Amino acid sequence: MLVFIFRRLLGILPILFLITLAVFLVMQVLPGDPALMILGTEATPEALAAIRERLGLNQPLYMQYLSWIGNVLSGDLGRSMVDNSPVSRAILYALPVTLQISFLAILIALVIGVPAGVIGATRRGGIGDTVVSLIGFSCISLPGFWVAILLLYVLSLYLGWLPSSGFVRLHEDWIGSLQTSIMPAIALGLRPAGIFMRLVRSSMLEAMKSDYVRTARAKGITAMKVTLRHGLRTSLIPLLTVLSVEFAALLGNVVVIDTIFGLPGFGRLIYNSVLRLDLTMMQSLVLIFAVSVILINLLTDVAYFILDPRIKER
Amino acid sequence: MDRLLVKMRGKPLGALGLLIVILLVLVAIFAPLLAPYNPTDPDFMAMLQGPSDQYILGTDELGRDMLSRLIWGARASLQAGLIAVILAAGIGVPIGLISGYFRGPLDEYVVMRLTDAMMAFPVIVLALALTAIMGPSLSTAMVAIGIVYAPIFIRLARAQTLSVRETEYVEAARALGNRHIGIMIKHVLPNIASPLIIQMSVSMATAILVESALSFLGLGVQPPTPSWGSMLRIGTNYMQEAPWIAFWPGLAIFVAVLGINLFGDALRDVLDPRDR
Repeated sequence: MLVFIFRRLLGILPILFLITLAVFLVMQVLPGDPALMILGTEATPEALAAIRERLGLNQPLYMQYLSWIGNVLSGDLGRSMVDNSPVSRAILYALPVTLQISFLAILIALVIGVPAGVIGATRRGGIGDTVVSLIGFSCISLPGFWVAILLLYVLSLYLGWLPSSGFVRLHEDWIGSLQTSIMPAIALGLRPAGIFMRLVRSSMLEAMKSDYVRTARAKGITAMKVTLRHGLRTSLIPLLTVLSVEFAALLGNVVVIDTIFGLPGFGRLIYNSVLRLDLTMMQSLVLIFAVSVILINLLTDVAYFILDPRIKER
Repeated sequence: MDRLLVKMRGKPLGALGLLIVILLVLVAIFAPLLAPYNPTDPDFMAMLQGPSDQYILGTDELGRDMLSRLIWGARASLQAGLIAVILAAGIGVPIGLISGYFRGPLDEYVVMRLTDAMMAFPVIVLALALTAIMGPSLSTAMVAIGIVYAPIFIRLARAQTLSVRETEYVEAARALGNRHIGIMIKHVLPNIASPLIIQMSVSMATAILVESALSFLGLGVQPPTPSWGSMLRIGTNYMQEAPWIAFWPGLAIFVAVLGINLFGDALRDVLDPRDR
């Protein structure tokens, strides 16, 4: 087990190297001169030269890359090119917000999606199945920002039950924190809910056709037990794969959701840095995205290993 | 087409999808005839009006007719979805086809790893960065979505080609001394078309969602051209006094995407019976 994880970690290193290199090179070819962005077009050549010197923009490319990597490894992500504040502080401030909302969204998606998928599979071809399919497709087709706006209108403006914007941190007041994160989480969670629904349904139908389910049936085990023990269990592995993909997609959808609910999360950080062409911020954010996606994939692999003993270290 | 209709009969959801898609296409094509008002004509005597006999769905903050803007918005959304997907398939399919046909280290280490890296990033983030770099407009949004979706088609076309290239008819064609390019176009492409068409319908649904999200963020269609995403953006400013401004465009996006998704699923059943 430990050997397996260690090998996977080793395999990650070259991917990380490629990604950091790619991020760095892409940032270099972006049009727009950061020095000009900071000082404006009125700046004197001397001032521009000074700021290039300070940002290290006049060094050769490989030196810039190496010093960036060195700094990242020692925990220093650099300073924002727009307001000169440390990038790591901004990220540490935003990360818990986005993590809390994403986990809540995935939880909601699982609670809705898995049981609904089971219902669809057990009532295959019937009205229940059609209804579940329609709900599943609807969840996939709903624009998250529209759901967010509808929730805001009904629950905040009309009924006044929940605050319409802002975020309360978990350690400050957990009830308030839940109140500020439930609407964003629902808006984010509906799409994965629909995807889980369809996936559980189809992989359960697949499993119900298999020999071991027929054997279990023949042994006289009740249909309910067979469904849950054999059908649902087999669908857990594809579910895990999709879960990791959806989690990554979720991290992207927070851009829109953060804007609507005024959340100080990752989405707002991305949106602002892209609009202002804040290169150091974008660079670090992309890196963090890549690392979290890789970590999620690693966790998924470990979970496979636990769930299905047939998967041995390749 | 006949076969399609026959198979659709037992599938109420697929039929519903087909109906929505046909309606959508008709609305987009005949927008100038269907819209009761000019979608960009302001009427300062009728700002933020609720639904009435004159304006069935109400008016927006400049007194423009919501229904007319929705009808014209169908054009922008369909156009964006269609062009983005055609672009993605246009970039992705040739690369995937060639890469899968010849294989070798270029395929393994360059094409595959590059698509791996690109697919690791959330679609919206990549599209956001691309539109920000190229300047916000409908065409850059379409190009950005097309580029971001290309790896999906590279992967799919490659995987399908890998299985087809080992078949006897491809081997026979090769033995007869046909040129590689001819074999790829005449023998491989027709046999990998079904999954690609299915993927195009699925991608088109999500492309419309991404385009509307970009327009919602102000990075897609620019005013005064009507688009569902940017109408929703305006609507968020008038939630108290005119909630319908945000309601209708969202409903339109939802119904359009749902229709394409349902249609795509039915298409899968018809074109690819192995799946069920």
